[in-house]
Amino acid sequence: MKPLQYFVVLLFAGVLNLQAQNTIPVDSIYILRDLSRDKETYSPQQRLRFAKRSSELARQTGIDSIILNNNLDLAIEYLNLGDLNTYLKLNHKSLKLAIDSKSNRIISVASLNIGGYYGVRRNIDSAFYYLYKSLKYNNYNKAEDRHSVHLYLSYMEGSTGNYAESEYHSIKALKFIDELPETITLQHDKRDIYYYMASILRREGNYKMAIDYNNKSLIISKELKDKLSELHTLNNMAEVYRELDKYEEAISLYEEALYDESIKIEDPIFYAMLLVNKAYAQFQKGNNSNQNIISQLKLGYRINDTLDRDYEKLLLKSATSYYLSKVYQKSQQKDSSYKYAKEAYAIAKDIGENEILLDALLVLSELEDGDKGKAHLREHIRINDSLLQLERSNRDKFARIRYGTGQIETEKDKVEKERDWLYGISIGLISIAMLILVIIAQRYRNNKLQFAKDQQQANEEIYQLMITQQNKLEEGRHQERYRISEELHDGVLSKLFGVRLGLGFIDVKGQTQDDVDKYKAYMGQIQTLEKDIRILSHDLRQDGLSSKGSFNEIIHTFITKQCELHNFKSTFTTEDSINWSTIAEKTKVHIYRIIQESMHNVIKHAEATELSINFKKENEAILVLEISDNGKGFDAKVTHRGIGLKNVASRVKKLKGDFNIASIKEKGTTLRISIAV
Amino acid sequence: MIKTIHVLIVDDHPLIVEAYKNALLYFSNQNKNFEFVISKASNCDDAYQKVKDKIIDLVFLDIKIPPSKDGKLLSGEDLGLAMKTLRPSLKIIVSTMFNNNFRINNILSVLNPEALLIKDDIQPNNLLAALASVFDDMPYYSKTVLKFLRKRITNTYVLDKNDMLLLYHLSKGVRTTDLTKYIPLSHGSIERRKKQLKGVFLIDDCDDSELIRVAEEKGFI
Repeated sequence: MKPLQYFVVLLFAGVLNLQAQNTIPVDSIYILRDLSRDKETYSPQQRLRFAKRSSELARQTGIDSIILNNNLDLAIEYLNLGDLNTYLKLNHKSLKLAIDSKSNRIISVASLNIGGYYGVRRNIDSAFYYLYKSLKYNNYNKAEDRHSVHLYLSYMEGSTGNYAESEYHSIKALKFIDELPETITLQHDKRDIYYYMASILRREGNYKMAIDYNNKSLIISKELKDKLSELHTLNNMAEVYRELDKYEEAISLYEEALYDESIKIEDPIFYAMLLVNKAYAQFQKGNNSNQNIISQLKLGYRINDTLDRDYEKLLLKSATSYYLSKVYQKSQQKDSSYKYAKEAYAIAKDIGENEILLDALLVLSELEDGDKGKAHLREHIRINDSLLQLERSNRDKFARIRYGTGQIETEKDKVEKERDWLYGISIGLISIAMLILVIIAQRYRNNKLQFAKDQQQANEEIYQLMITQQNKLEEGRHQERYRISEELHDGVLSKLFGVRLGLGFIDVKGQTQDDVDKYKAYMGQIQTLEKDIRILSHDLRQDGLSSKGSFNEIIHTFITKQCELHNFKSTFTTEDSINWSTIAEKTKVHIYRIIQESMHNVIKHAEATELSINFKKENEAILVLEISDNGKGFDAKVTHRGIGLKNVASRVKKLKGDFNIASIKEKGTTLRISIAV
Repeated sequence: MIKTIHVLIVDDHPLIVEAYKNALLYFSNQNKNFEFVISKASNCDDAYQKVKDKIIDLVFLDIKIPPSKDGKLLSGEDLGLAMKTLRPSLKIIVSTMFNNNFRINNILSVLNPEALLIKDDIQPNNLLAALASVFDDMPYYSKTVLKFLRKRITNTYVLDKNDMLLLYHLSKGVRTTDLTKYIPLSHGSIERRKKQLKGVFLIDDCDDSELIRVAEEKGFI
């Protein structure tokens, strides 16, 4: 029993179902594609039409990946319809396009399909070429499809007698399958691999392992309730026992397989195969009469007789013929033995079954004496040698193909290494960039803080300068007043006094009474004038006292100046209990700026004619500043706060104070700020 | 019998000197038994020298006059004391432009002159009266001085010299921070004294102008 029939079944049933994985939303293509996959609703012809239409649309998009995926879908439809030529053509087309557009996954899938096709057609060279090509790109394939190429390669390597490679690929395929979640399809594949490995191992003479794998195959087949596979496995196992000369076990296995007679209808050829195998095992065991065995074998032989040329049938026939020739040889019926051996030889040669061919030749050489026998033996040796030769050359050839793949793989490794390097360097660069960014951000923040600090300091300095300036001005004014006062007092007043006294002693007796009265009146006037000057002088000195601290003075000066400049009236009041000298300079700077900012607002927006600024104390610790105008007002809730008010708000916030605006349209605005001092 | 009286007029204003001369002339015209020998000085050094060199019986003394070159005599008060020391029998008539209570008090307590005239008050008649009074060995005080004395007698506050200085300088318009230059006290104790004074005058929580106003009212400045 050859695994090739499985190969075909597998190829047709398990062709890779390509899922489109495109991001381009070409809806109609996808809809058509989905329709073409809907096996339940539509006939194969309908599906093919959908696939064709979809493929046509895909070609119009000009997007390679869509075209490729559609082509492969279309190919599968042709495969389902049995049009293998179109299937092959489409796959070739896809492969070419994929190579051009470097779609590695498609290369892998298309190559696999083509390789599989050639495998079925026994075009071994081409099959190997495409399968190894597919293997090259297998890493790009979807995880659930990666085992397929190994599966095929395992069959191919096995069929060329390269059992070690075949085993290698089987194991590889099993590994891929084991990495995936368990599905029925995968279980089937797994069972096939076990089954195939068992037959390979049997051929290699590793019977123990062969039995193991057959058992595994058997277990899965039973799980899957796959009767046919189970029977094939049993047959395979029986063959192992036969080769181990354990005919009892072999026969019991055959009987187990033959127990279910449904196989007789489902697969009569296989049923016949089991029968003849069992009969031959009994013959080998030697405890049954040859006649009985011959009748059984002939039964199998006759089943075949009626049927046409088909590999399986021919295989059965050649195997049966061989068995018969062996049995006849044993019972010394040389003619019959010769006849069947000849037939087995002819059919085996026809279908390329070298094993049977060689066995048949051996029988023939034993049957004939002299030159003829020798000729058969020579042919046996020649074929055996040529088979070995072929195997060896195949191995060499495929080794070369593999070597090419290996090279590609090293290149791939290199590319991967480079890619790793690139990743490493990129990550490094990104980390460095991030670090730099963080440092820059940190530095920026520090600068900002520093700037705020500097500004604060600058503000205080400006204020201090203003105070100093104010003090100097005050000092100068004071000195000047003092000087004038002194001058009035000591100079003017003294001289006036001298004049008055001097005048007083001038004899005015000769004058009329009227003149004397007038004279006295003027004297009185002068004395009054003296008093006036004295008061003036005194007041000039006293003036210094009236100033209640220079902060008030600064504010007052500022307000007065602004009002003069912008032509509106102002009142400035402050409660006596406010002691500016106990209030922090920083706070005063902010208050000054707030007043400045608010006045600026009033000047710019309010169109006011009157302004009042008022300081009072709410209790010991709260200082209240009210700035009111009689301008046009605004809606304090709606209006977007301008930069001016924002500045005021931020200053009040810095002073941890409260701040509210009451504004009545056309009546004016009052800004009220309370600060804890 | 004609009494010859040597008079020294100390004033830096020639007009005033002339006025006093006229007054003395007027007085001698009215009182024939008085005869005046008049000399004059316009600064401390000159005046001191004259008192030292010749007989002087009466001095018309201005308080605000140029000080002596050696810096020992700074005002009419110093000069008066120095002259009294030279001649204890010297009669002094102080005439001053200062009309504040502090200076009046100072002049009275330090110099204790025979007459104290505030220039504002001076009129020909009371100047003559002052002369007559002095020659009659009777002290003469002009109107302002008398008012001051009355105030002082009626109030019971006891202020020391520093309190008086403090009030005086404050009233002159000296700023609190500069007061330490004039008063031998620290800034803190000046503040404390101010508060104390306000307490004495029962004007707690008032500012300095109020303090000065009250002190003036009570006759301390």
